[in-house]
Amino acid sequence: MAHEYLNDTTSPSAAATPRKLKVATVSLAGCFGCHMSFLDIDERLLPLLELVEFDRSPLTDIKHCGPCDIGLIEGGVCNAENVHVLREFRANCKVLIALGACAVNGGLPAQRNHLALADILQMVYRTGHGLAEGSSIPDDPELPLPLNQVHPVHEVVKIDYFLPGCPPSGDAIWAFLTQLIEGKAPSLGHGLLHYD
Amino acid sequence: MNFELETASLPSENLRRVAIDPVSRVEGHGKVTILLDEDNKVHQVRLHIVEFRGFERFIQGRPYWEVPVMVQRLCGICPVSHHLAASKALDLIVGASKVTPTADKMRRLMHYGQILQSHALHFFHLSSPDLLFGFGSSLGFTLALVLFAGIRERLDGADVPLAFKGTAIAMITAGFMSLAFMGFAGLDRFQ
Ligand code: SF4
Repeated sequence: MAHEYLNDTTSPSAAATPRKLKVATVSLAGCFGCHMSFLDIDERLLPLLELVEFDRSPLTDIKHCGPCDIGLIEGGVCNAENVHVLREFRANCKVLIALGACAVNGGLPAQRNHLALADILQMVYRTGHGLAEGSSIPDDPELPLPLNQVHPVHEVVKIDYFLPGCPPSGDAIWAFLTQLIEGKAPSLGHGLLHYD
Repeated sequence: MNFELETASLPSENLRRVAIDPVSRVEGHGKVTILLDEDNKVHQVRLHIVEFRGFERFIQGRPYWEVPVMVQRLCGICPVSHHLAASKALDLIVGASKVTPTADKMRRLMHYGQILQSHALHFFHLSSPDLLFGFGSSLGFTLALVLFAGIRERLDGADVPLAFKGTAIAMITAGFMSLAFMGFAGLDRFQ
């Protein structure tokens, strides 16, 4: 029969190939730049997709993180929902990685930390320039409450690896992930490790 | 310590709340909530922008030349647009009512580059999954990548005029492919 080869036991079949690793990614208080940098690995996504499959990620439509091997966190923690999602990731991911300056130390959004949150909201929604008549600070119950300060992710959960850069380059992310998938402790040399 | 996130209370017991949270494959953090009745009739749809970062305030008081670089971090998908907008604002501040022709051309070139890159990104990574497979699938993402990688390989061997070699021809092909895929867009309506 034409499709007999599907049952061919002599070919190196699925049993011989190791289980694909599950990877989940999320953007908390980040700008998606780190995800874009991740996509900058371009055609190397193909060999990567042979080794891993994606769980929750802005690239898929999966809304909650299931049990995963690797979790990539972009962005710091700026509101209650971020805390929620970050804890869900920690509970489900064996290895959790802070990806980029925002996740590592709060990054640019943490520039608001020396200001009082109430003053910022007042200025942005009530006293700033170019506001519509009668603008007010959004207070819908569906909106997660903002935190007084932006926190790096390691202040909320335990983080296994930190990958700095704003954003880390595609090459750095690729080198990091391939080493991790091979089971080595990732180490990035000069040129891949940068903080800007 | 776990906690539940607060949601809006239902205006009536007969309504059911459906949340699309988060909205994926866009920059920005959003969720959509829909209220339906027993007959699945939609009573309310709301888009919530759940993130507040306060750029408007914290750029104040910074050295002015820092601002174009800071606002790039508003959005990692279109950083150039924010960079250029901030540059224009700075023109006003420093009293440059007219920029030099070279500066104008450089800005345009940057912006075209951004548009090109953004379209390729939008098609290959963000919208192809929806166009090809409808909701709930990341398969399309993989497929578009496989197809594109195949085409790139073919281009390596093709006789392309020098000026279009490399990324340029890849982008043009991307444009053709996206047109081709548009044909799939209506398909899932017939299911
Ligand atoms: S580290 Fe930089 S690129 Fe990454 S999310 Fe933060 S601002 Fe964006």
